[in-house]
Amino acid sequence: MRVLIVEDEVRLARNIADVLQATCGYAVDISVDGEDGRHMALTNPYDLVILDLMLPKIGGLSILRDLRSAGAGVPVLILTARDGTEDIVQGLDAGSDDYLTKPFEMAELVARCKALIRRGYDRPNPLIQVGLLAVDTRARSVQADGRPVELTAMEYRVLEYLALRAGEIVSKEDILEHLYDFDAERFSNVVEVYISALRRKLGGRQDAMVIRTFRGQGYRLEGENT
Amino acid sequence: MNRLSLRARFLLFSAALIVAAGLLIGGVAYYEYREGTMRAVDRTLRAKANGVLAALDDEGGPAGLKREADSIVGFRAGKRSPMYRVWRDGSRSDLVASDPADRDRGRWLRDIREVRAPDANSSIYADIGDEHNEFRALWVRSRAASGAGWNVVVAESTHYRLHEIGEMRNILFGVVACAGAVMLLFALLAVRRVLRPIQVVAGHLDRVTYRDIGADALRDSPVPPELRPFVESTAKMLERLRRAFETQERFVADASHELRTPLAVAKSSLQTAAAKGRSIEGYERAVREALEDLDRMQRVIEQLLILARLGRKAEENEAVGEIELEPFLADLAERYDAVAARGGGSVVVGKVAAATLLGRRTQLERLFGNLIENAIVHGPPSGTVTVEASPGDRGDVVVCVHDEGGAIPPEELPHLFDRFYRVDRSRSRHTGGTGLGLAIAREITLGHGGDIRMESSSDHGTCVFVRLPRLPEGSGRDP
Repeated sequence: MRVLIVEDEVRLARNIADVLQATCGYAVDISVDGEDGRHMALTNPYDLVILDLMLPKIGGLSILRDLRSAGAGVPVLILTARDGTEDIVQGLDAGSDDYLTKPFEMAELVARCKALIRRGYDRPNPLIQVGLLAVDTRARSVQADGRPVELTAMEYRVLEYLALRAGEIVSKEDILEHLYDFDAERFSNVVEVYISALRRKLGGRQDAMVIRTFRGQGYRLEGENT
Repeated sequence: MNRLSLRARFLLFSAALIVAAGLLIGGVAYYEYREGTMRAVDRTLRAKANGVLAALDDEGGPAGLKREADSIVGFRAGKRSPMYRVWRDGSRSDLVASDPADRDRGRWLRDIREVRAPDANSSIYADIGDEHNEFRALWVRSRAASGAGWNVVVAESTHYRLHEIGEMRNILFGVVACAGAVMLLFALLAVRRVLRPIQVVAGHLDRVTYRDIGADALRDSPVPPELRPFVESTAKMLERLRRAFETQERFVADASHELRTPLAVAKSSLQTAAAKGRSIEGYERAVREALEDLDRMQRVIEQLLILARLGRKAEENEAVGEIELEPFLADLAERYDAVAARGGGSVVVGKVAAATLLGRRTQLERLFGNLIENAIVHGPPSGTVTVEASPGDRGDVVVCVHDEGGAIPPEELPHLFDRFYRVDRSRSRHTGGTGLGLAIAREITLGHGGDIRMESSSDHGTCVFVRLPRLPEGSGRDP
C-alpha cells in the first residue's frame, strides 16, 4: 500500500511515515508544501493521502478539490490543528473521507489509515478471505487452508494487495507502484520473484487458491469463492 | 423627579395640562353664560324703565298711569312678579308703585334708596331682595322739563335665572370633568403607545448574546424617527462588539493552532519512539526533538503573555521615563550585532538624530529588538542590518530598521503586523518565529502614541519605519 503525507511539519510527517512503515508495511511519500503535494497526489496512484490544511503555497482544501475534480477517488484523511465544526464540515464537504485534529493518538491515526484503505478497495472486513486463503490485515498474518504461512514483509505486501483486489487482473506496474515509495529503486523482475515465492509458500491445493498469470496483463488471485 | 418613571412624568404633565385647560374652558364658558343672562335681564329692565318714563307723559291720571305701568312692567300677582315704583325727586311718597310700601316687596323697592342715588339723567343697577327672592333693580333718574326729576325703579326677579346659572355651572363642571377623564385615558394609552418601541428595543437587547449580537434585527425594529439615532448608535455599538468578539475568537483559534501543532509534533515523536524498540540514538533524538517542540510552545506562550500584558491599563505597566535615542539604539545594535555575527551578519547604527523619547524602556527595547531580530532572520545570510533615525515633520522621530532582504509582495505588507501572520510559514518555522514579533512591535508603538509601517523593494531591501513622539525640549536642536 502506498501513502502520501502532505504536511509542512517535517518532523511530524516523518514520524507518521515511520509508524506506517513499521506497523503496516506501507510505502510512504512525504511532501512538505502544497504545490509539490498536489503534483505528487495527482501523478501517483496512492491508496491514501494524509493532508494538512494550512500548507505553504497551496492550501490543503484546494489540493483536495483539485484531486476530486480530476476524478481521483483516493481516500483522503485531513490532519489539521483546526478543530472548529465549520472546518470539519468544510473539509468533509470538499471531499475528504476522514478528519483528525492535532494533537492526535498515533494508534488512532494508524487504525483510521487502515480502515480508509480497506474501504478504498471496498473490503470493510479486516479479514480478507479468498477461497482457502485468509489474509488478516490487523495482525498481518496469512493462513492457507488453516495452516499459518510465514512470509517476508515484501511478500506479505504483494499478497495483501492482490487479496484486496482479488478477482481482478492486477498489472505488474500497479503492484510496483503500490509497493514502493517514490525514492525506492525498482527492478522490473522483482514482482516475478515475489510471486513465485508466494506460490511456493502457499502451496497446498492449487485449485483452491491460485495466483494466475495473464501474459502481458498481470496476475489474478483466485479462490473457490471468487 | 428623576426617580419617577417616564410614564408617570408624562401622565402627571398631561393631567396638569388637562385640568388647567378644563378649568380655563369651563370658567370662561360659565362666566360668559352668566354675564349674557344678566345682561339680558338688564336690557329688559332698561326697556321697561324707559316705557314707564314715557308713560309718565301721558295724561291719564294716577289710575291710568298705574294700569299702563303695570302692563309695561308686566306686573302680575305673585311673589316673583316684576315690580316698580315711581316718585318725584324730594317726594317721600310714591306717585305710583306696583306694591304697597309696607309689604315685603315694597320694602325691598324702598331699600334701594340706601344704594347711592344715581345722578340726574342717569341710572344705576342694584341687586335687592332677600336670599330666597333675588331681584335685579334699575333706578333711573330723569330731569323733567318742569323742574323736579322723576325716579323710576323697575325690578325683576332673578331667582330662576340664578338657578339656571347654578345648573349651568354644575353641567359645565360635569362635562369638563368627563372630558378630562377621557383625555387622561387617551393620554395613558398614548404614553403606552409611545413607550412601546422602547420595550421592543429592550426586548431585542435582552436577546443579545455573545453568539447572536442581532444588530440587524435591532435596526429593523419599528421605532419612531425620534428613537432612530438611539437605535442606530446601539446597533453600531453592537457591531463593534461583534467585531471585537470575532477578532478575539480568531486570535484564540490562531493561538490554539500555534500551540496544537508543536504539541502534535512532540507527541508524535514520543509515541513513535515508544511504539517499538529503538536504539539509544533513536530515543535521544525523540527526546531532543520533543524538547525543541516544547521550546517552540514556550516561545508562543511567552509572546502571547507579552501581548496580553501590553493590553493592560497604563498604570499597571512599567513607568514612563526619558530615553536618549542615540545611546539607546547604539546599545541595542551592539547587543544584536553579537547575535548576527553567529550567522556572519552584522548590525550597525547609521545616522541617528539626537532626540529624547518619553517611553517605557523595556517595551522599547522589545520593540526594536524584535525588529532587528526580524531583520537578521529575514535578511540575506551575512547581510547588514542598519538602524537609523531621522527627525519627523511633526515633532516626532522616525526610526528605520533596514535589512538587505528581497521584496515582500505589496499585498502582504498591511498584514505583516497581524498576529500569527507569516508570508512563508515553513520558513519562519525553521527560524523559530512565532508570528507574534511584529504584532508585539505594533502594539508597543501604538501604546507609545506612534505608528509603524513597512516598505519593501528588491532594490532597496526591506525597511520598517517606527514613528515615535519625542520630547520638544530634547537634548538640543536637530543636526
